Amino acid sequence: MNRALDTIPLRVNGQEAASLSSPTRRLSEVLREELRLRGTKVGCDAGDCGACTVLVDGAPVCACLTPVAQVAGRAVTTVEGLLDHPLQEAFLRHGAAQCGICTPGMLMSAVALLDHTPEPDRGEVEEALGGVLCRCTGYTKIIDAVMDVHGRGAPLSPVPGGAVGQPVRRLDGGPKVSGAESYGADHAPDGALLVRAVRAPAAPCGFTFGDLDAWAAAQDVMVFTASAIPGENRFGVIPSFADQPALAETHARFSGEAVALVAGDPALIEALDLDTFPVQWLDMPDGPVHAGRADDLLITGRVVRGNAASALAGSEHVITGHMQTPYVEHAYIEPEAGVAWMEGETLVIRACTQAPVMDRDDTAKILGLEPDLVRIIPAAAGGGFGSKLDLSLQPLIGLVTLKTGRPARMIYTRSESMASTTKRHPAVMTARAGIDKDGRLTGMVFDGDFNTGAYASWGPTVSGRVPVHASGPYLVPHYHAEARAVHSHQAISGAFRGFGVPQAAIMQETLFDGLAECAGMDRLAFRRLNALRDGDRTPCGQALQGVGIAACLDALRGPWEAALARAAAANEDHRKPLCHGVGVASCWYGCGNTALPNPSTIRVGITTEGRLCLHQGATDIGQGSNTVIAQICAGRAAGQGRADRAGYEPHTRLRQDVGFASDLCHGQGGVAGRAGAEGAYPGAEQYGAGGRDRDRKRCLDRD
Amino acid sequence: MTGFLRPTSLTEALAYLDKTRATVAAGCTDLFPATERRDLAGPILDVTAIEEMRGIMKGAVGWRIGGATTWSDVLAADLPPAFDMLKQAAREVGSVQIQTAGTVAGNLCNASPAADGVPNLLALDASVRLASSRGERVMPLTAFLRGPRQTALAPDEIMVSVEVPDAAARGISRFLKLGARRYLVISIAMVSVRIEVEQGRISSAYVAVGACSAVARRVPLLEAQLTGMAMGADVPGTVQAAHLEAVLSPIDDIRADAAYRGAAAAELVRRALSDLVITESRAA
Repeated sequence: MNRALDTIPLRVNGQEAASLSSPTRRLSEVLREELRLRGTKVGCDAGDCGACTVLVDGAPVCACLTPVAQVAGRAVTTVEGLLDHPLQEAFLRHGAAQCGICTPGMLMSAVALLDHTPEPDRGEVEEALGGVLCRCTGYTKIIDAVMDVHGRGAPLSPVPGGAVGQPVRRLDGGPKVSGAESYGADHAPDGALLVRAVRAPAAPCGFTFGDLDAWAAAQDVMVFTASAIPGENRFGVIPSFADQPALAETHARFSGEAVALVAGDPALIEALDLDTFPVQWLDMPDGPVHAGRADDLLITGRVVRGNAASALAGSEHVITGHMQTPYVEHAYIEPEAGVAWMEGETLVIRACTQAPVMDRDDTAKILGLEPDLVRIIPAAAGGGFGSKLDLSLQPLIGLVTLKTGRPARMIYTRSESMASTTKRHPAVMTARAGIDKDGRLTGMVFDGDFNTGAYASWGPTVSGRVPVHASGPYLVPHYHAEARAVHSHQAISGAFRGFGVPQAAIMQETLFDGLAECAGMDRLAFRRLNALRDGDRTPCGQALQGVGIAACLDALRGPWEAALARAAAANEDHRKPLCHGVGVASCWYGCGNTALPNPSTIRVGITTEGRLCLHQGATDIGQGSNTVIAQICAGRAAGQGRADRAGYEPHTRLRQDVGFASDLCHGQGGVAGRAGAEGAYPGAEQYGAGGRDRDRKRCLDRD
Repeated sequence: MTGFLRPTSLTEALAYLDKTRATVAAGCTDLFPATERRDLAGPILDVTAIEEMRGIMKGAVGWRIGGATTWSDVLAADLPPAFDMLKQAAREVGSVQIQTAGTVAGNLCNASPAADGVPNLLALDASVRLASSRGERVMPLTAFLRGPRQTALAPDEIMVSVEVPDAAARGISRFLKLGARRYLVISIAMVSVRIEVEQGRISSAYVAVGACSAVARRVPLLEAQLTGMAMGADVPGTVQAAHLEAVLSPIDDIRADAAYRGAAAAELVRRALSDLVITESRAA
């Protein structure tokens, strides 16, 4: 018997339903697109992330790996079926939902455990949650929440006027634990076209199209190529280096670059075999990536202080090191997704993003529109970590909607997300550092090539930030550091937590371990001796105040010695196979735009009910800015503030630009604090150029 | 989607397979990751509703693991200590979600060099029973697995069960897997060790290593070396690189290089033996 024409009887969250889908359709698709239960998230379609975990007869499965026919007549439970489970409140109490994209999968996995093990130990929780990936929390808070599911802790409620420093239940946490939060793939207007991209299989790679019109007509779909782009087909986060086309024009510079779009009825588009698309790929020799950038050099950053070469020549000990680091994928659990539609003359794009204003300006340029005629609505972002600062699908769905007048929706596959979006820069680094007879640093030379891939993206920022920071938070009197952003026909490197600084820190801190050994010093003591103090100057000549590194290292003294003793004791037993070791490393990072102003504007008003209302344009990608900025504002509005009342939607029509990146809570915090303290007048605007340090520790760094 | 059947009887399944040469599907934990499609390309024969293929049973001559038995079923089954290693592997296949759906037989039919089930079943001298409308045949697992993603399964056959003879369901056992993280990880190397001890001496030893050759391999030189030894602290030290090198051919890939794999496999065997020495001393 062939079941394809039958309906499949389902029981989801106690409700009877019938699916008209193919019997082998992924359950995740049936839940999300047919039953509109979009609390179940799809991160990988391969069972690797667990975001789609649902319960079938009480047992956790990946809905993306389950053919819908297998659940016929069985009880399916999704996050929407939890109905005020105490675990949801425990997640809020422990801050266990950050970006929230893994939260439904975490909740369902944990509920399955708690159903048969009401008071699990930590190991049992780890095993039960091992199939769900989280990229924000580091898991600890999630495990704590599961173990505290029966906790009777008082609900978190900040005292008026004292919001800063108190744990606050996150303002936007409710939808994240109920499954109601709406991410890039969770909004689908009726009648929306589905869009898929045709991507280059290799690079460099030329291409020519065959008879596109005939193919499109035969498939009953529409095709768009670079020739359809009405504006300037070039974008980039740093305007003077903008070099990336939304759709490649003559050849692809990296494997996975989009060269064409197909759009149409979702069922037709989904079923298309893109291998039949009429394109001929042409081998190309591996020449320069961009004409006009000799030796594939995008830019060099250099910081010089004193004379490092002579300082090293006169040093008691000098150490040289060489190191390479690889590409690193951000691996946010939410692949890029969004939808565009027209509202009158305005093109509206709702997508996951970290930088709505940058998205608006570049999308408008590509599509030949005035920025006022493009509105960006950031969907909830299921992680970004830097990569969602750059445009991805915004100009693609924008183009389709602009050309057709119809809503257009696009959801990247995991492999498409990995191939086409930015990564951490691979680095090839050489460094030398020296000390005097007392173990004090004399000088350092750093030299690094940072592979920025096919397009500029944040390469200039990396080449600037690395030499500024390659000394680490230490006093280095003589210093010479260079970092080059170098192109290749490979994946684009962009922003990722620290813009190259972590790579340099690996090099520098490893050298310092060697220097400590040369000096016969404890590694922690060596760092403490050389740590920056108040009034010391950085390699750039900035005299610092309020320097915290020495206090950090001092706080580590006790735990460090205890750990060394534990390791030594463990290593005495030679029968045990594992060897134990202890490491220490520092890293520093200047918040804000390196060498550029980083203006932030927020508004605080008083509603007709007499409540403070904060309007701020920071995009919360899980780092907590929706809560923290409100908290800082409330804390400074003496006698009035409650950090649990605020507006936080950063779309580009209602909110002001605040910049981007991890440190925006930090920069904006200063603004929010002053706006709160200065009387909270409607329209009060401030620029946040300083006064930030006090608030910094409240922010979770997430660029 | 062109054709789908989820029958409740094996006879019906075999007739459909004979007619359609459908893809046999169970947990689908390997089929779905291999496609970006929203559904599986048919025809598909789903064997998960065939009652006679589900569960683990003790028969007259040994144990039978039905072809639709999931890893979670293995964990829940009451089995002698010879199967401890199989249960330990069951806990480490992917994740709880994968264990709920994925099957032991599917793990064998998928024939990944890093299949977690294979070394255990080699150390249990397992055979597989293949059925088609032409009849049934039983062959040793070593003969069934022919290479990476290559098996002796004919297009009209279903693996209806995995069978472990009584003679192999003896002794104590240990499985160890090395991966880059604890969960959701593909093995860099893994080992399964089963030891039978009589009067303080190893009477039989079964050692198998996975992810270090095209197909997981037993290590006969080491097994011979171990046999007859007194079960004590000297046992783990018996493991020499040469024992493994004789049968393994580890490769360089993204997860590890060949040299590391080989060294790790030898160390894992030592640790597994060390754990079994402790297990045995507690029992004694």
